[in-house]
Amino acid sequence: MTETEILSWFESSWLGEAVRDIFWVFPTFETLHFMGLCVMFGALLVIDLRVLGVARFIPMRPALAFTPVILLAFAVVVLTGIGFFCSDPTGYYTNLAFRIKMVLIVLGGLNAIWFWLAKQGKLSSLPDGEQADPTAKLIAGLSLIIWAGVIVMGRLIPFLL
Amino acid sequence: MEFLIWLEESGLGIWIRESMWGYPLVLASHAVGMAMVVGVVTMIDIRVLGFAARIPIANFNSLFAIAWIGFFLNFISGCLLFCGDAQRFFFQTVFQIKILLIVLGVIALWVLLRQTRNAAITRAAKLTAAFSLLCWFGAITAGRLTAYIGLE
Repeated sequence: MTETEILSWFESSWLGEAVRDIFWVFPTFETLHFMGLCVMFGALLVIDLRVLGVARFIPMRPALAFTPVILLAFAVVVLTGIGFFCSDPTGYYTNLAFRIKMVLIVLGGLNAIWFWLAKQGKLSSLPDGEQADPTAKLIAGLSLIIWAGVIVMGRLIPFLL
Repeated sequence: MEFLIWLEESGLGIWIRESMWGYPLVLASHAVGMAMVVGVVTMIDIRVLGFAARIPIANFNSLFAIAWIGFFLNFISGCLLFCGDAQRFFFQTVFQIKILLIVLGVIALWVLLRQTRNAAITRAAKLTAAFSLLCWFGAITAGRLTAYIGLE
């Protein structure tokens, strides 16, 4: 399949049609997308600020219990996001802000996998009130910057063509 | 009414409407601030409702600074967005509902902090947390609808 064929497949999908043609679906998806991003960012803040030492007095192991909240909220954001994409695949695909946003999401995902593989296990036995190691702090800082960047780029999609 | 027109004609009002980067940047800050406020408040609410019960409530204190920074960011960016189209927002019902929900959300948070001060989580605190969630998620919904409902 060529690029154009793939894009038009998305465009003619039932999801694309629903988001385009039923007037309340787009605003509803937007609202859910916003709620999902808030929950995701909030849960990221708990973990990342604990690792950074800003919220040093939150015990590490229960803080890591917020991971499923991130994944659940991410699922909501991705599903509604696919809905937006299907409503106008060519528009999104060629949009600069959208492209930067997608690159940032991939970087955010790789950063999270790095944390999970290299740090999650070690950190969960970190005593209360203790500082995490510098690499863990770097990952946590990158995580907040990348995901805030994702929010900014998402909001710029209508403006940065 | 004259005040609203004055806001729209002020330097800030014109900047938001006419500069190339003013509106998108302020809108983007408004989204990041929203994620900070609603994100942190939601985590505290679900904690009070029983999630991650092993984190002592008092230890969330350090996150409040972040929620306040987000709130301040959104207050400033919100005022700027308001100046850009003051007459429409002022008379728009969903916008009025949004502001009301934010005021109620802040009050609910203040009440919740007092209710959980001595670490025990009462039924009343849980009710406040649920009410707080309704206010903030309602504010997001109303905020999104300002772009769709009640436009001339």
